[in-house]
Amino acid sequence: MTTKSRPTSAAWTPMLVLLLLAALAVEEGLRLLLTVDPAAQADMAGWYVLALGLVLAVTTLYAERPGRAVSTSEESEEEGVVRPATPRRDMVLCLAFFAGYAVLLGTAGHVVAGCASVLGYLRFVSRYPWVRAIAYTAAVNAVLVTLFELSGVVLPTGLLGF
Amino acid sequence: MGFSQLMAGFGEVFRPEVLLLAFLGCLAGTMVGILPGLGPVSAVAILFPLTTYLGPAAAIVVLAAIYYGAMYGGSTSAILLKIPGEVSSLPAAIEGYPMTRRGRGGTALAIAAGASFVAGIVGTVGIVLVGPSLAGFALEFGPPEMLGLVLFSLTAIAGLSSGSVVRGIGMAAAGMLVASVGLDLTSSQQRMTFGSLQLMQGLDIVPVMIGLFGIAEVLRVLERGTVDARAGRVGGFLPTRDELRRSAGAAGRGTVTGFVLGLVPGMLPSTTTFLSYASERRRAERKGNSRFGDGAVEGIGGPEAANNATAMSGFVPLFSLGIPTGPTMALIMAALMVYGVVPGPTMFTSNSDITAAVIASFFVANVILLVLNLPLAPVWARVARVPYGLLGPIILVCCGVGAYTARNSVFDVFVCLLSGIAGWAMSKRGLPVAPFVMGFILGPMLELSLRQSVAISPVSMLRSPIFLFFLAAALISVALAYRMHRRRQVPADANA
Repeated sequence: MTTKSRPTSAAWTPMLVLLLLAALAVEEGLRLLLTVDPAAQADMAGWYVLALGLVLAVTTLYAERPGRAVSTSEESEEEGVVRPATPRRDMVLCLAFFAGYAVLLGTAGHVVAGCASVLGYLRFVSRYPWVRAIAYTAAVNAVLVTLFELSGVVLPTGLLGF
Repeated sequence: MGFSQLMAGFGEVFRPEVLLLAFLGCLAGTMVGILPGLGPVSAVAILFPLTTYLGPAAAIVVLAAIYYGAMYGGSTSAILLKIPGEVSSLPAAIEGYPMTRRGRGGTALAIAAGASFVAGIVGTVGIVLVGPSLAGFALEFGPPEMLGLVLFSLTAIAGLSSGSVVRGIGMAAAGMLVASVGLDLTSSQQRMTFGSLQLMQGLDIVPVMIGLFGIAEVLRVLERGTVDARAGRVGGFLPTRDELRRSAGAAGRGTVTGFVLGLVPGMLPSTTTFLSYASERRRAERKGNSRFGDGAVEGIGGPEAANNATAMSGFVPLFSLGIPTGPTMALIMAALMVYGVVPGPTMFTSNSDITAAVIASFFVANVILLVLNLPLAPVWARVARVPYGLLGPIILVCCGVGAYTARNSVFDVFVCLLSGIAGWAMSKRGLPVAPFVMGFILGPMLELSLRQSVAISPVSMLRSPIFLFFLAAALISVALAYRMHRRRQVPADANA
């Protein structure tokens, strides 16, 4: 369902983010046009990002003003939907576990990264009891590691060697 | 592409290992497509890493099978559980679920599978007939013509696939800007890198797409919750003679409109599905025998056929022009490039062996899915009830692996994470994702053809009738889309 959003501070966020991207593009375009040696032939590269930045700025100012922009409603009215108790907390934790996966992938290897992030997610986002979370983590990772091995996907083994 | 090449393609697909891979692809795609909230584009994004180490032909066969399987899977969960895996399965949920509640879910599934099968086969024949001639035409394209084509594709997608033309154009520009991060290929100057070594290599399309569709979907489900799935009775599969007559007509109409409209960039399967649903509904109301909302078989057959036919016709511009018509095609295009196959006119010339195998695999996948889906319907209904609490971490790990394997870079996993947050924020704020994706994919092509055109002559574009034709088509598509949105807005404002 879509509704007209109220112009709260959060409603300004998409406009500000897009305008920031547009400003960066304009600045980058001007830098390439004005400061790079003409012999480097960077003028077209500069014009390109400058033009895109201006298009983005104009369209954002026109279409993303709070009150004009349309946002999706947080309240789902779908029949039979089980709504989570703490959606924001779950989302933040989910992102944290994915970021943790990325950090551990390069250092401790894919098995450790997979086990840690799956266990964390099952225990703290899905709220399974510890025993069930550990059992599911072992099963899920065994299946995934086997699948990736069988399909020849090469993943970092990290310091631990697996 | 000749008949003999197509037969050679069938020979390739009928090799036991390729056949097995196609079967596994259909199975995996159906399983993912059935799961709540996961549609074809998420299925391709999540399962993509498993295909990266296959040969190009086998990998594309598997990917196409996953895509197809996910579409079938979406309809199955929509009919049996009223959980549309994606927007285009919504008509199947509206009309199919009432049939399931009456113990006739099997018939609804059979109609959906039959319509999808016919549309899939007709669509594949359409690729064989239209693809090579379009590719032959595209071989004549120089930089100005390519520039016109990309401009038209971008404006059409921006206009048709979003709620506002201006927003669509803005998001396409944002996608093009993000794609321009890295080294400029002509001058070797850094652009939008801010001194970062990692950003100098640019942003790869695979982690961006996986983030936008895989991670963002997990976040959306965590935010809004999942549907409590309760399956009705599947029952028998055979439709009555009247149901068969009504659904066959609707499937025929859906196939034709779906295929023709699907050739236009921006005409996503979800759009043609709803066009078909609305047209069938109007038709039934005119005749005075509408059962829409309570299990109308035309409302299942027509939209399902339109959905599959559009999905198939999307391969025509992808293979012959190198232009994706929507996010799923963009992801398949990205995967093709990872496999070392560049989509474009050469798909029907120097890479015709791979193309023939892929086209043959479409035929085979349709048959596999028809055989696989109906008998396994009760099993699929159980699969759809796997709790999301368990699926979430599996999807996350698959997304992480997919992002990493694109360039064997941990940095790309972080790019995937940020793209996921961006994808969630975009859907939350109603910003259209499709134009952003198209801008990201087509941006480099637009820049290259623009620079080449200017290098030939600053007015070279104005001398090309094909460029002028595409430019006019782009302007018309923007005007039409603007008018369409205004019409939609006026009654809404009047009711407010």
